[in-house]
Amino acid sequence: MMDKTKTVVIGQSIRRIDAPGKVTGATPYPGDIDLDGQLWMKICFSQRAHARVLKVDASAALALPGVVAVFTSHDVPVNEYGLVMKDQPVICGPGGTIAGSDIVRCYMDYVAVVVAETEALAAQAAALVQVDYADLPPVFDAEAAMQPEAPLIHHNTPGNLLSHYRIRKGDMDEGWARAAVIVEDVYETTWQEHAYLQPEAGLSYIDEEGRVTVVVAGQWTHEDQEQIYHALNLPPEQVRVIYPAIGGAFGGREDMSVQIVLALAAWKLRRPVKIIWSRTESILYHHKRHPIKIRTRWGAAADGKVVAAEATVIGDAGAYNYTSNKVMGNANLMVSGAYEIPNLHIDTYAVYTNNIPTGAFRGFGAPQALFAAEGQMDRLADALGMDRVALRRRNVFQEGSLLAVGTPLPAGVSMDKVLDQCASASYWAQTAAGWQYQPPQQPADPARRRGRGLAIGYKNCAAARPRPGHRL
Amino acid sequence: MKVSIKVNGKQYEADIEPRLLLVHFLRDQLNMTGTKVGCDTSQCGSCTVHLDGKALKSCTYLAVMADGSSVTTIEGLGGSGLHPMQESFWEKHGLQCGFCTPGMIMATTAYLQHHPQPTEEDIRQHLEGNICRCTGYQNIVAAVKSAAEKMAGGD
Ligand code: FES
Ligand code: FES
Repeated sequence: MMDKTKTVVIGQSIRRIDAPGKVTGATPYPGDIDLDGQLWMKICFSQRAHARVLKVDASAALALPGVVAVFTSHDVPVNEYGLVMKDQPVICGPGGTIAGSDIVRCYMDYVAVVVAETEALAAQAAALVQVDYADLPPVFDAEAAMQPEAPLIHHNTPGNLLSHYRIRKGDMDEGWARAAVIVEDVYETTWQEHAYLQPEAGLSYIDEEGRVTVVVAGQWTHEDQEQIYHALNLPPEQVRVIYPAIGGAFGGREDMSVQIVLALAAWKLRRPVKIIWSRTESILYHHKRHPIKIRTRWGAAADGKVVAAEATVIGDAGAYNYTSNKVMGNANLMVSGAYEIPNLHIDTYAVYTNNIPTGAFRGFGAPQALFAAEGQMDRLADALGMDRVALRRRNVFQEGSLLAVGTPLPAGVSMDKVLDQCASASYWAQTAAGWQYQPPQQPADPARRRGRGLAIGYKNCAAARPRPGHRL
Repeated sequence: MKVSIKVNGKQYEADIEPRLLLVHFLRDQLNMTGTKVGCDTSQCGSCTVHLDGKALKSCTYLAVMADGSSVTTIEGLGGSGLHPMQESFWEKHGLQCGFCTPGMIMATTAYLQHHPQPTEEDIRQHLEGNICRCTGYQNIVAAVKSAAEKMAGGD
């Protein structure tokens, strides 16, 4: 039992205070909250990957009895938003003062928002909204988007280049000269869906003090609030954001979904407005993990010391930044793995394309980068004829090791010990000849084979306010 | 269509549209939002309830089909206190965001009725119809195991 006279929590098993509501179903999630007199919203998404929206005709939708309003670009006071940079229109379409807000850049852009007395009516009306597009050439590959002849996705971003990070450490010629073996490969990862179990949902209303209030699941309450009051051109104190139970996020709710349009509708109509996305909508219309292409070359001396590594890391940001410049910054730091390598040459790019935007997802760029680093370590071990644990043990970060960017690691680095223990628990043994893999006995059933792989992951972990110049 | 459905021990008479799903009958008409909708396509198990004692995904079942039946939802499972399964999910950290939890609890309580002493492998096998995106399942399995032990011990 916990001694109540002291606030000792470390080493104690504390009962969760949120569990009773969750195990009884009493805790409300965004999709569970209703208000009397609420209206329902459906969003009309872009039907083009890249096009100028010439006209949005809502007359047929508005003619349906029970349809209360259809909002378009004309209704958004300041038609832009974004967590790190405001590069996305709230509703794409003509008539705004912000350059480029009439362009859809991917299939998840909004072109209209329908509000009706019931959810079914809103869906029926959404299908009646007519949009005229003038197609623009799209680009769906990040490397192609970097070429000079590629279509420009944002007028103010030449080369579609959102960010470029460089690491230059040591002397590459000297590094390669010391290498007994050099391995080179290309690693590619693809999009990945968060699939949090509560799909996007929310309710907006005008509270008793006249403030527009949005009840929604997110990961940055105050950033959501800021983006809403910016787009609605309201003073901050006129906008409230409330997060009930979230229903999973994993980075997928760092960027906004339904928040601004819900607030806009409640603000204009003075009635509560609710939306729940289907699973299909959730998968189609929120950001994903970055596909990253990594071309990389590593060299090691005969004794196993990794002496040089170079990498070109290209991340597909999709149509808007979301947290791409931050995620790719992380990939940039992690692509040389958990190893102190004296000579490094790394270039990391985040590139706009007309694909779905990409952003935060557990690991924040590290998993993709470490996939390449660990692949390279296995190839180096094989090229050297060295055990995979032994090679990692030879190079892994210690206290005081310098990170790729030159930052010394503080006391408390335990990677070597973690590696020893994981290896010992996973069919490796320390023998007179050093670490050796001792393959497990295979089950008799040939359909059940057992293999073991080994990889090291590490990741920075600190509060980082996602604004340029505001890293804590 | 007129239906009469018993939910958590109480009889409800309602006039409903034939296409209304049981999950929406529970959530929207009876305001019992403990039963969740995670996928609306019978994949995630968040909407699991008991229909005449058997676990059922209520997102793929018409409410009219439940006419004359008895439904138990997460709200009615524990009576006035917590069901041992609910307690075990709490104690063993069988949840994080908690969105899958009502469905997990309804699926596993129905299962234990006929398999009171499941092995860890049995539990894992049985949970294939329920998705959890947060926990990695380890603590869910531990919670079910612990609940089975508690229930066998009669407390
Ligand atoms: S909502 Fe019924 S199985 Fe997912
Ligand atoms: S606890 Fe979040 S989905 Fe299971």
